[in-house]
Parts: sequence; C-alpha cells; structure tokens
Amino acid sequence: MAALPDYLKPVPAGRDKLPREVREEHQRDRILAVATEVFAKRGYPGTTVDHIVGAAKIGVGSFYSLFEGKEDCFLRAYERIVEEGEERIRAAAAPAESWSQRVAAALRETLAMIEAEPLRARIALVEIQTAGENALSRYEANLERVADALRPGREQSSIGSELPGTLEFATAGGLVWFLQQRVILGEAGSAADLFPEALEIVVEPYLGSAETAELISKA
Amino acid sequence: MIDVVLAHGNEGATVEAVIDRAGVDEDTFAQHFDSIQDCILDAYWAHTNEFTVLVQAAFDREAVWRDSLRAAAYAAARYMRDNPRIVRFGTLQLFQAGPMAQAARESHLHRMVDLLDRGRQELDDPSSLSRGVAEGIFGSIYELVVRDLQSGRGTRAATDFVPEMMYLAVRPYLGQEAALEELSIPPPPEDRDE
Repeated sequence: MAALPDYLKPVPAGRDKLPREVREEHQRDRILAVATEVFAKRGYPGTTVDHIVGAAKIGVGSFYSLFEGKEDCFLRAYERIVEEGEERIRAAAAPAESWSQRVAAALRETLAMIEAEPLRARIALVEIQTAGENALSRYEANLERVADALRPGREQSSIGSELPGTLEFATAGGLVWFLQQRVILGEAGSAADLFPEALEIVVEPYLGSAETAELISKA
Repeated sequence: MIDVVLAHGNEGATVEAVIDRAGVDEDTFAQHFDSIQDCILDAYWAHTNEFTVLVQAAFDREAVWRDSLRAAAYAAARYMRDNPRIVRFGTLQLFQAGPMAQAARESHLHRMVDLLDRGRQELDDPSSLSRGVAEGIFGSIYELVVRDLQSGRGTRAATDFVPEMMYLAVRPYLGQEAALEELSIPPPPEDRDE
C-alpha cells in the first residue's frame, strides 16, 4: 500500500507539536514582556529575579533555563525594544524625500512610541543607564548609530563644512537627554507637544532657525 | 563613600564597607547618616555644591552672557579634568543609585541648564526658542563627558571640548558667525577659576 505524503499525514497532538526551540522562544518573549514592566516600575537596581519570576508566574529554574541572569534578561528586553523601535522608525521615515523630512518622520514615530508605551520608553531611555557597564556600552553604541543617521544632514546644510566634528554625537546625546528628562519628569505624555522642541534640537544646528521653523510648520 | 562606590559599585556600598574604609565605627556612622542612601546623597551634595559655587562664580564674573558662559564652561571643564573620580561618581554611579539619587542629580543638572537658557534673553524675541534647546545643548555636553568616561579616556580632555561646546551653545542664540568665533577663542588663564 502506498504511503501518505507528509502533508496529508495527521499532525501529532500534544507537547511535541512545536519544536522545543519555538516553545522556548515563545516563553522567552512572554517573560521579556513581563520583565520589561517589572524593570520599568522597580528600576533595574531595585529588581530581583524573584520579582520577575513572581510576575511571570514561573519557577526560578524555568527562568534560568532561558536567561543567564537578571542582567541578561534586561539586556535582551532592551535589545528587543530597540530592534522593534528601529523597524517602526525605518518604515515611518522611508517615504520621506529629504534628510530633514526623514528626521521629522523618525522623530514623530519615536515620540508616538514613547507616548504609547511609556514603560518600554523608560527601559530604553532611563534604566539602560542604571544597569551597569555592559548596558552603558550598548547605550553608547546606539547613540553612535543615531549620530551616524544625522551625519547626512551636513549635505543639506549650507554650513556643513563648518560644523564641528563632534556635532552628530552631541546632537544625538542632546536629543536623548531631552527625551530622558521628559520620561523621568513624567512629561512624555503628548508626542504632539514635544515634537517641535525635539525637531528643533536635532535640525537647527544644520538648517538654522528660519528653515527649522518652516520644517516644523510643515511636518 | 565615593571610593567604596567606585570600587564596589552601588550594591557593594554597604555601611560595613564604608566604615571599614573610613576607619570609623558603626555608631559614628549612625551619628551622621540615617542610611547608606543618606551617605551617598550627602557625598553627592557636598561635591555638587563645591562644583556649583565654582561654576556660578566664574559665570558671575563676566558681564555679557556669552563671556559668562565661556568662563563657566572652562571652570566646569577644569574641575572635571582635576576630579575624575568625583565626576564618575556624580554621573555614571549616581544614576544607578536609585530614584532619590536620580532626583537629586536631575535638580542639580537643571541648574546648569538654567545658565544656558539665559541665552534666550539675547534674542529679540526670547519666546522664539524653547527651553528645550538649552536642555538639548546641556545633554550634548553631558553625553560627551559620559562617553569619555566610558571609553576610559576619563576627563583629561574635558577642556579640549569647550570650544566646540561653546559653538553648540552660542549658535541658537547668537548665530553662526558668533558660534564660529568660539572655535578659536583661547581659554582664560587657570588662576581665574579660583
């Protein structure tokens, strides 16, 4: 008797339905979502593994089968937030024609994310700086990437050749510090309210006040 | 206190570690501080006040905002150059020390933002720029300091950054020409900081 092709064979029921790696990935995702909330509300220094496992309703053994420890869990949560944020920002900025329009679109999307997901914003902007040397290194590396995205602004600027070498990193740092202050002070509520100031911080060094004001009015 | 935090991190900053390092007993510690957190904040405020008095005095010596800011910037940079341990404690470590310490740090940093924000009075219409511009400028300076601390360069080059920082600070309020001039203005003599 001929054997059934694979696609007509019945799918086995029960725990073997999904590969172990897939089940672990789902479990890790769920714990990272819970851990994000715990870290944001308690702060990294004030969070313990017990807090996370309690909130996630798992055993300590399950936690350590998926993460090396508190720091590993935190850094994975942070990287997840950054990756997903970058994807949304890239999509928002893609249709823009000029550098300044791309920056405006990217800022709008960033501020919308901060307003919609304040706990994730707290992880990405505040707690990342409280989580030790490894976390700080990742934060600094991401600041450098923001700086890299700003560098094309020199081509749109009439004074591009005169701008200091540290401008991009300084501007990226200034923007992040501005956003961080809003989160710390609990003032990150309205993306629309923050947009003009945030855009001013980033593009004014390249375009000057008049062109920046025009961009703000049209963006 | 600062030595203990820098050597052992915030988690290692216990009363036992501090009294061991200071060569005092627990009763003596308790006479001065309610908790280790109290001690951390006390150490922070002691050095912050010293820094703020120095920077404010330099700022107040000059009559024009731009000159005041430059004098304050060099006073701040020289303090950072000469006190890298304190700068590391007040930036990286203090931010990791919990909400009370973070709040203390933020209130101090905003006093520095105030000095920058006075630049708006140089404009024909001070309301044409937001305080956010001063915050962004301050944040730029702060992140450059932290980057150097993280990279191991410490605060040795703090004074080298001042011309570029003055460019960033002056440009929104006084324009490109004034900002470019800042890149070639030499530092004031060091004894003026005293």
